[in-house]
Amino acid sequence: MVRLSALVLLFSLLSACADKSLYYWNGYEDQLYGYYQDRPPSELIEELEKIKTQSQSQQKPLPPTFYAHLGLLYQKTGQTQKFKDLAREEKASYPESAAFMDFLLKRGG
Amino acid sequence: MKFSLFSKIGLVFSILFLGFGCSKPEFDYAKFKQSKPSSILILPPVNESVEVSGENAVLSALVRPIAEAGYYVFPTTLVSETFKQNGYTQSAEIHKIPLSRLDKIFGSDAILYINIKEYGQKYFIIGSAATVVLEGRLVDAKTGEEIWNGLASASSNENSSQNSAGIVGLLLEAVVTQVVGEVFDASYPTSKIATARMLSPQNQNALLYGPRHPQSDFR
Repeated sequence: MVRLSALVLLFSLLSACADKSLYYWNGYEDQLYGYYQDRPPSELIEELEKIKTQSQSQQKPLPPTFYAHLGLLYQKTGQTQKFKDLAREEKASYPESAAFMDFLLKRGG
Repeated sequence: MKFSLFSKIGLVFSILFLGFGCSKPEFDYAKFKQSKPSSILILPPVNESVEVSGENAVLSALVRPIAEAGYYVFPTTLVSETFKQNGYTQSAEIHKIPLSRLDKIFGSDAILYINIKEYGQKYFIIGSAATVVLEGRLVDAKTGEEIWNGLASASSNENSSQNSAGIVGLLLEAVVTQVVGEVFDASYPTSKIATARMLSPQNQNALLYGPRHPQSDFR
């Protein structure tokens, strides 16, 4: 009984994710963890830019945090303008982020 | 706070029991519904385990379930950088920052405080399993009122005998994505099970659907 309900829970969690997700993830969330494992930013940037390109042919938008996190990676490689552009993209896609994005943009990245 | 070994075992067992969906008191969402948050700031979790990597693993595992619940989630890597640049390196310190200071920088509707009670390999008589136990509370960023709290646990050897497509799939995924030569870490995929279990609105006593979700009552 206990195992069955746990199974049902797992399956419903997973099927819910697969069928009705709001956003296009394609492994991005695992890359967030990869960021903390000393993978070089340039490698991470390449992967995320791929996801970004793929997302253009998708119905679902890129999730909250995606643009801003990619911006941070660019900032780490000294590309401040790209960081600013992406912070603005995050703000445009997700107005809830406005205060924080403005804070970062004012600070100059 | 110190607990005796007995009560620690008791706590873990009752959490595991709860995690398996047995009947439990339903959470009172009155304050949650009054607060109606549309954005959630996840603070870096306080890690009470001995596995230092737990903090970043759990932090990363929190983003998807909360975003998919229908909330805007603040970019966790940028949030951590911002704290670092302001001299905050310890999560325990970060958890004590006054809400008004957080509001000035982030402007979030709600703040999520996570405590990692357990993270890492747990050794049993017949082997070991990655175990993750999490506790969380959601606070209204303007009023400071707690609008939700929850806990969840997950283990990498759940349902290991049959039909465990879910957890096996995630573990296989983890193996495949690990760079050859690195030690296989089952704790991160197990964290994803724990965070989804604690937060996904399909589960009892989890978050309510947020305004970006079609099933939300907040729209």
